[in-house]
Amino acid sequence: MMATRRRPFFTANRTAIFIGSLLVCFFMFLPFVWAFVLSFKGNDELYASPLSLPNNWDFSLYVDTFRKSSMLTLFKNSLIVATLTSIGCLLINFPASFAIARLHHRNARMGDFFYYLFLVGSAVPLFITLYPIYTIAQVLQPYGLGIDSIFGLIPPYVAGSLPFNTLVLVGAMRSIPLELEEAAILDGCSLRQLMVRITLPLMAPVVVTLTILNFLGAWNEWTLASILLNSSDNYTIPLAASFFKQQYGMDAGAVMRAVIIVLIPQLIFYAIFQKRIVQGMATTGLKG
Amino acid sequence: MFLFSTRRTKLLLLLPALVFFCVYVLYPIGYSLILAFEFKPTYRPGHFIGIDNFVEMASDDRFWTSLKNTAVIAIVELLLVPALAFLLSLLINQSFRGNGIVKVLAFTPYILAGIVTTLIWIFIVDPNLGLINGALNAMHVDTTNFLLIGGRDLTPVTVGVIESWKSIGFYAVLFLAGLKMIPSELFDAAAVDGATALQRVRFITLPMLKETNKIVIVLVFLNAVQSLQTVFILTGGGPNYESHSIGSYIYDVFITQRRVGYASSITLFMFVVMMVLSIAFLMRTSRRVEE
Repeated sequence: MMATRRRPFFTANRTAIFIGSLLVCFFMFLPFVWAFVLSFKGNDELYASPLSLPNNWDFSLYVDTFRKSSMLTLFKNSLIVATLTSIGCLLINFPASFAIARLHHRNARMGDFFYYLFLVGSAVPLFITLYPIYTIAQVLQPYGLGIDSIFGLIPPYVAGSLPFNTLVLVGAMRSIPLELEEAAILDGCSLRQLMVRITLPLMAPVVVTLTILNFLGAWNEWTLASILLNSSDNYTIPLAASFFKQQYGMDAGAVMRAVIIVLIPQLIFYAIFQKRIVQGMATTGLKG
Repeated sequence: MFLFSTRRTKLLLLLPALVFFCVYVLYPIGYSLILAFEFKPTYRPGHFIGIDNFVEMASDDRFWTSLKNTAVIAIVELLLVPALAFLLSLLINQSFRGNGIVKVLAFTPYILAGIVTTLIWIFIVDPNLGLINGALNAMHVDTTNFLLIGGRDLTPVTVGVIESWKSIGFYAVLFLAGLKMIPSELFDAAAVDGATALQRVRFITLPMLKETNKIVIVLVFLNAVQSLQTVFILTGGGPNYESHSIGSYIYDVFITQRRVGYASSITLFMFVVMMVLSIAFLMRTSRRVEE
């Protein structure tokens, strides 16, 4: 981000830095590594000697766990929900933020009103909305957006994105200069062209980051999904994961294998987009 | 822009967001307020009962246990997260090869679903299978009464530690953003005056990070009060409702006991406590700055 790296205000010696980094990595990754190591153990081995390394590192246990589960359905469900949610978030939030940041600039008070109105949503705990959202889903049942439908998750998720997305989009739009857009208007650009052809490309980095964060938010959401979904064919990944313990009974090794299978795609996703994810969450100080 | 600034276009662009806001934010708040004063089983119509739900809360031992547990979770997180995240941000702020990797690794648990990260922790804290009890046993320490989960007392502490572990990377990056805002001239001047590294942290960094610190404390507190998934996975509130947090107790009353009205009352109580404490904290600390 910054062109010149700021000189750190004190320089610890290299050993201290090395030990510090090692400690951080150790504590942050110990649970993952430990779970990964133990996931290669069968159940008898696990209970007989919980602390020893597995006798053999073969992947057949993983293949077995994968076969017994319905991982592909889960991934499909989560992918559909997260993709449609992030598209929906963009479709709803971008025009609204455009109206707040751009069209209201002569009457800023009105724009600010909507801006703060949407932000208030972030103070509301999810618990307050659980049952009312359930009743809304009952009303939407005939339209395929009701209870026990993965598509029924999308509208509440999109609504949940309002505060965070408005905050980020309006902030970013207000920080880019008006000149380019004014020139486009003088050239006879229509409103839709202006939004789609001029403002959207200008905002591309922010929009991409937001879309990734919205995607992650929908992918990880558990509470609402646990209330709206009933049949296991419709479970999203976190919801299915919350039943792993019951599903595999006492076979703790199988639970870990299922968890690791679920984690790998997300960790790859994170590895690809880590810069945007970390920066996006940090610069706004909030989560989706 | 003025060319398009008709009231209709403005409204048209805002309308979808406004509809979502009204349906999924305004309506739920209003409905929940009504439910809090109703006797309402989930699948049957309810009726108004005044403040009976709140009277019941006062004599509900399970509720008070969950309140106590939530306080423990919040205290553990408030003790661990701001301090450790600050230290971590100091480390990341050093320029050395690999500081980016440390940052990304520390951030990793935060982007994963709470359900999944908690499942991972079972192998560390489970009394029968876990690393901690296993290691203590190997050192011939008697651990029959040392139950990190499933016992009477330690579960909220474990929950607090796991949630701290999950979020520390995020708060470290918040502190890091604050660190980058401090003008380096301050440190140069202090260095010229002969201040040691520790003195510079104490008298420049910490005061300059006061605002960030306040935000971090409030966010940690709000998240700790609402913790649900960690408890749900580790113990499900058991044994005998002894390890519930407020969040998981509300969830239990709503889903398992199917008493939406009572669940809404507890939620309302939780929301008011959250808001009052956060605002009181912010006002107190801002007054101290003025003095």
